[in-house]
Amino acid sequence: MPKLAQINVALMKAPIDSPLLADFAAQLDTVNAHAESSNGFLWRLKDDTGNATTISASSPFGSNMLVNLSTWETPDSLIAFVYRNNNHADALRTREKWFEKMPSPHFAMWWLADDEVPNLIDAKRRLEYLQENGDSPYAFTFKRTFEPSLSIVDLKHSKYLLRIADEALIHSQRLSEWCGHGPLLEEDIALGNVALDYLGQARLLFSHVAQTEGRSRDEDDLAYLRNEHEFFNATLVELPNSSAFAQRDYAVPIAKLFLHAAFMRLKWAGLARSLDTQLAAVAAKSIKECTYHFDHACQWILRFGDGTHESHDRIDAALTYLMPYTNEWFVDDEIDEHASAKHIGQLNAPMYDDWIKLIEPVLTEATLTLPARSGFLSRGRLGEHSEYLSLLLAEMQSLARQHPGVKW
Amino acid sequence: VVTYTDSEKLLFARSLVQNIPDPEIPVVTLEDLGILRDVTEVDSEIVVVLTPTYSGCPATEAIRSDVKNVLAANGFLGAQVRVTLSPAWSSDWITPQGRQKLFAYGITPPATSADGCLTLPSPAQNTIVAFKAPSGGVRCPRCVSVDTSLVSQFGSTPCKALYKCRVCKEPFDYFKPY
Repeated sequence: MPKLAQINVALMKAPIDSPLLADFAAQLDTVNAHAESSNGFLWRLKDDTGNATTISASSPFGSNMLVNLSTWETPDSLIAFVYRNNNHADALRTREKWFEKMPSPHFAMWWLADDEVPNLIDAKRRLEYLQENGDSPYAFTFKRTFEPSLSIVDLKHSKYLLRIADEALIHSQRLSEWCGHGPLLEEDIALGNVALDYLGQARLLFSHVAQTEGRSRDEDDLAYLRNEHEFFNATLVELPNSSAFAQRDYAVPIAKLFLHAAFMRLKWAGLARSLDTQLAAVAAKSIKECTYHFDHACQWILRFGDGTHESHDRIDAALTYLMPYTNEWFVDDEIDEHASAKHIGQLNAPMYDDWIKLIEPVLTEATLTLPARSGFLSRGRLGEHSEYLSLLLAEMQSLARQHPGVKW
Repeated sequence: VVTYTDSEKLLFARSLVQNIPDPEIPVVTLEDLGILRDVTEVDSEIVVVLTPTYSGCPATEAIRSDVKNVLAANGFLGAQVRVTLSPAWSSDWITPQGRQKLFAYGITPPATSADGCLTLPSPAQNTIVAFKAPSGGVRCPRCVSVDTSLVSQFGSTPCKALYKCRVCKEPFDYFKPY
């Protein structure tokens, strides 16, 4: 059963043991006891003395802020206590005597999965989100409550989104390794721009996943605090920029971008019709970006393929190396079938012919041959990755992991 | 003491937000760029709704805080800024005035879908988006020649391409159709 979490904070006009707050402190135990015996009460954050006043000293809200964090069966059970319990209602009326009036929201509710315990860091995040965005399934008030079904985990749905988001993030990270190493200044800037587009797509999708899950992790947690087997990008995007020709071979990112942008043009076009309106909005934006990416990659495929012997051989080798890893894109499992059935996304296998129609004419014009389709199947989308992903993650996540909660 | 009605306050808040300059290209305002969706009042607080231009545009965060700061400095303390992704922003939404300002500033404004230069994906069908150079050519903002060529689709910011003019030999930025 999903449960309702609530945070309520109050900025004290004086310390809790001061004369000003004496009558507040005196009735705290009674009010808490009433809360705990209320219908629908499940849990509240408390210290060894049985209330939450000493928790403030170490809380992310600061020591002047009194915090009240609890879980309830339903919004109605919470409302019954907040407004209809006489002791609590009396305390509410005299609130201004003890506490400052705050310009920002001091109260928020959200749904949690059965096995989750709320924490203050997450609660603070939700209050801030409420201030920025108003009532939403992620954080809401009594003005507009939400049903748990809207925000509680549809695991298959969030995994479907994660696969797209992870692929964008990991591709972005690999591309950004070219910053300062592009073969010419314009290309350096171009790949940086493309990497930024992919990063933007990943960020929008991670935020959406965080809200879809309704769990206590945000965009940054998803990017920085998951381990290798919890990433669901196709293996292709994590492969390194090196080849038999060079430690940094520009043919590799170009071939990768060419194959991926062609695939994403088809994928985003389908996702723009998703019943998941957030996903559809990200898709409508991203399809324009990936059209520029594909255009850029095509121009380099032509130059490399129809250029010198060496450039021809290098792009040919890069395509031959990468092509088997594209097979994974055109396989459907229960996640894709669920997305397709719910009209969240589309099946992958039917996109294969259209994808070939996009890439083959470009290869032909570039005097290159489409590599034959092989039976090789990588398993990145299942969380089973190549040895390259762990090193990529180590570099990408080290700052966030060494300095938990660090902000710019 | 002069008191204002609610509708006057809302008009004032709207004019404040409309005139906030873009952090990246300060010659154009949020209104000029067409990213301002709505300024409303919800429960006596101002709510500003914006559409981001590009997924990864770093200016979005700066714009968000600019809006809050400007409103707060004028007495709208609890103002909220919300970002809506749908419908996705298009460079078609840049106003005629915004286009003139960009050109005068040295950035050639984007061709529009009315010029046939931009096919937007339609949610109803599988339209593949396409961009074409305007048939008359991309005009150099310095010498107004259309004898120009593309250097790179990716310029100094995600929203700009890099061109060069064959007449005055100068490079210039072209705001990409999007």
